[in-house]
Amino acid sequence: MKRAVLIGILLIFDYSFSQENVGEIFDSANKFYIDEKYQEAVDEYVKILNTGYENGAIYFNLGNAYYKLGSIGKAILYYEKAKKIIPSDEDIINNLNLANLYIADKITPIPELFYIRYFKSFTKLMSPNNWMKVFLTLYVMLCLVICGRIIIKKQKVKNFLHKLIFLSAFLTALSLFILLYSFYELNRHDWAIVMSDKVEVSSSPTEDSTQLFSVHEGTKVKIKRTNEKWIEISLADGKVGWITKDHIEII
Amino acid sequence: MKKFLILVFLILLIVTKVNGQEIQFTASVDKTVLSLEQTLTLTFQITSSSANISGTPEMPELDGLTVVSGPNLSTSISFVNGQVSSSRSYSYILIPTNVGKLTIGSAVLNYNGKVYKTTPIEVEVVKSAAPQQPKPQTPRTEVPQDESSDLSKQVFLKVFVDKKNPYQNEGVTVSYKLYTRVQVRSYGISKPPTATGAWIEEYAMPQQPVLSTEVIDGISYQSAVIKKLELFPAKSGELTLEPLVIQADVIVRSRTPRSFFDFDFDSFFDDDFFGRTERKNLVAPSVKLNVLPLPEEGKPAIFKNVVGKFSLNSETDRTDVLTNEAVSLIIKISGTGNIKLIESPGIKISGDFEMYEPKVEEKINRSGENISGEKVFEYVLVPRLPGVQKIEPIIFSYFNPETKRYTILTTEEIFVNVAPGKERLSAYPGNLSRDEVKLIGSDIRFIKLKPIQWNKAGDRFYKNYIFLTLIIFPLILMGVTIIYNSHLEKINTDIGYRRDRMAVKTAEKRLKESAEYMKEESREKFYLTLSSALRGYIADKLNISEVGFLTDEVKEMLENKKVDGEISNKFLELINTCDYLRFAPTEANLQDMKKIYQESRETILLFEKHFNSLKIK
Repeated sequence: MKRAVLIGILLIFDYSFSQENVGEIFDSANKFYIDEKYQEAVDEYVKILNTGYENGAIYFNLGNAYYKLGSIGKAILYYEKAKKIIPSDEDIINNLNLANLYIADKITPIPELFYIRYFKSFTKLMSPNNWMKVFLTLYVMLCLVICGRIIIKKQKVKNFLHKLIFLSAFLTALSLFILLYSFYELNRHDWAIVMSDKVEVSSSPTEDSTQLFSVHEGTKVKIKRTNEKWIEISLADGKVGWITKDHIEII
Repeated sequence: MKKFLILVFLILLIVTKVNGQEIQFTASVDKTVLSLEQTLTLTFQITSSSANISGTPEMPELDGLTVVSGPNLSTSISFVNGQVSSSRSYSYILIPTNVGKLTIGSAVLNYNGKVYKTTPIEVEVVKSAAPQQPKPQTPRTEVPQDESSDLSKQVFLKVFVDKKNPYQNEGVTVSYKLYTRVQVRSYGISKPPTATGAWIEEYAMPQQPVLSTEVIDGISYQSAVIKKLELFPAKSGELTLEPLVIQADVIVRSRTPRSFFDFDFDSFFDDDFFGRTERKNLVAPSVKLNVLPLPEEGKPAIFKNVVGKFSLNSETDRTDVLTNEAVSLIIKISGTGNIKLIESPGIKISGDFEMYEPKVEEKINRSGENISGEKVFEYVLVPRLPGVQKIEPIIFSYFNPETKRYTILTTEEIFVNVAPGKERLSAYPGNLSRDEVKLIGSDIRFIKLKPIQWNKAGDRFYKNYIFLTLIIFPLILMGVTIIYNSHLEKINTDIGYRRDRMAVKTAEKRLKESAEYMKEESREKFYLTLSSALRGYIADKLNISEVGFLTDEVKEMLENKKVDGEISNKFLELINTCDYLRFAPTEANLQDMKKIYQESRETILLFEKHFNSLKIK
């Protein structure tokens, strides 16, 4: 009986966590931040995340609060999370770059092929949500143009609409591709940030294997595969090794 | 006389006679007894039967004697009766520093793998003649027999040291003063003072020594500082400053008054009217210093062995500059002490500057009371980025021996306003390390206060209702458009299709017409239009001519189309009824008309429904 009541209360409580409530917590967290009570701000932001709501702003603000608290690893983690949702935001890029300066590891990334680089930076012009809007607009427009092309009998207009169909079909396909890619990127969880001050990276997932190199807090690593509590990581410069899961947090 | 014999013997002494090689290695001195102010000439002679002699003798240990000059090398080759003999001699001029019996050790010569040694020579150094009591106006006859032996009292050197226990690297002023009662015509330094483990900075001395009168033990002397130097010990411990030796030409009065008869040539040229010139070696004693190490306590990390008293000053030649224009930062350290050892204190600037190696200038003033001067470091800085750039304070540390404390000097920080130059920077200086960039980095950007929207974590875009609606609705719209368009097209092109589709509409039109006639109660016209509506409908449906409508033919066609027999029969019967009633002689019955109108209307609709369902099958 007690339990049922408790669950009932929890349900009501959960239900009451509507968007407006989330907004209120968010505002109070921001107030803490402005008053330079960063730890309290962090607690409030985390409270929101625990309800399951998220957006780019909260991750960005949380990253800022951690930055002010001096935990660079966490700051970078949340900036990266924010960047996934709103990749085009300048503030995030600025603060992330700033936080990255504190990383002890100086890794020179292997350069990507130019067209891949161009494509990636193009997809990051907008957030996945905005790409969705672009795609929907183009899609609806394409359909309307097709309908118009069917109905309208005037030859001149028909010819014009014919060309328009090709154009909008191409754009729609492109935006769909980008949309799918950016959502794929958004839902990829194979990047992680090192949380420990210093981690020795081993050659194999065993305790007594050779120490290859060490990584420090804040360094971004790519997860290649996992083996129980061990994770194989690769750095931007191509170095590969194994570390235990508890040293990193997935973006 | 005995001494003289020994002397002659020594000069002629053949120390070593070697068989075969015919080499002789001898050592000789010009006198065996000498006083402190006399010099001793030590000569090593190598005589050989062959013309070429090589190798230099190693100096023996000389206790109580100091080398003033030498070796002076002289070589001679002689041919006697066809025999060649050559000799080589190395002579040294020594001065005694101690009184007593001294031994000149064996000199060693390595020649053709053989070792030759000289025999040691004993020399006796005696004090000069018994001190003379100063006598007022003694008669000339009572003038001492040998005034030269008394010269050590008349002319001597004294050394003054300002401190005996200096700190390491602290300057010690050593001055040498010449005291004389006789006239010194000229003097020359034959051996400057040296010290190992220290470096010496000499003061500039005036061309003519400044003479002053001093009284020592009641005797007045003419005195002059002839040499002054600053000694900087490089390490702690005992330090010995080797003696200074000067050679002075002094004028000595004639020992005896001369009568005219006493004239002799030799002494005439010696006489110089007032006295004769005598060359004398004067030795200033060596100085022993006990150098103290610098205290460890309170020693700053930046301390770099600079001892003395200094001031620090730094400035830039301008504070407003364009990018890529040079600014010079001048650091000036001035004061007294070991200026030569001063290193650049180093500057700290942000990575926005390009920095070059400093130009170092050293000015030392040797003529003052102390060795003073300044060291100037000039750094050329080229700002690469615009903005207000800070040059961190410059820190310099020295040890002040007076207060026995370390002093740290700092300058104020300097701000340089850098305005963007005309030419834009092509690239960010590439050699910046991360640490340098950190200085440039300002604070992070402020948080976001108004989020656009909240999403549930893990939401997929395709689960969004608006998204799904916007995807599906245009598809439906497109489908409808396509169907509608094909219908329109068929109507325009296919007569059968159009008749089929328009059949109901046409029939209804006619039915309406017949309804009008029904109201007018004109029986004939009513049945005519009703019948034509029914016939027209079925003709439209079957795409046949309305004219020449044959019931049997139609029935057959309907059967072919698999129309339900009952419906088709009912339909045809209705047509027949219409035709019959049209010409029937009976009175017009409104009731019947209404009934048949209703019936035919229902039948048409029923047929349409049935016919369309057949088409779908």
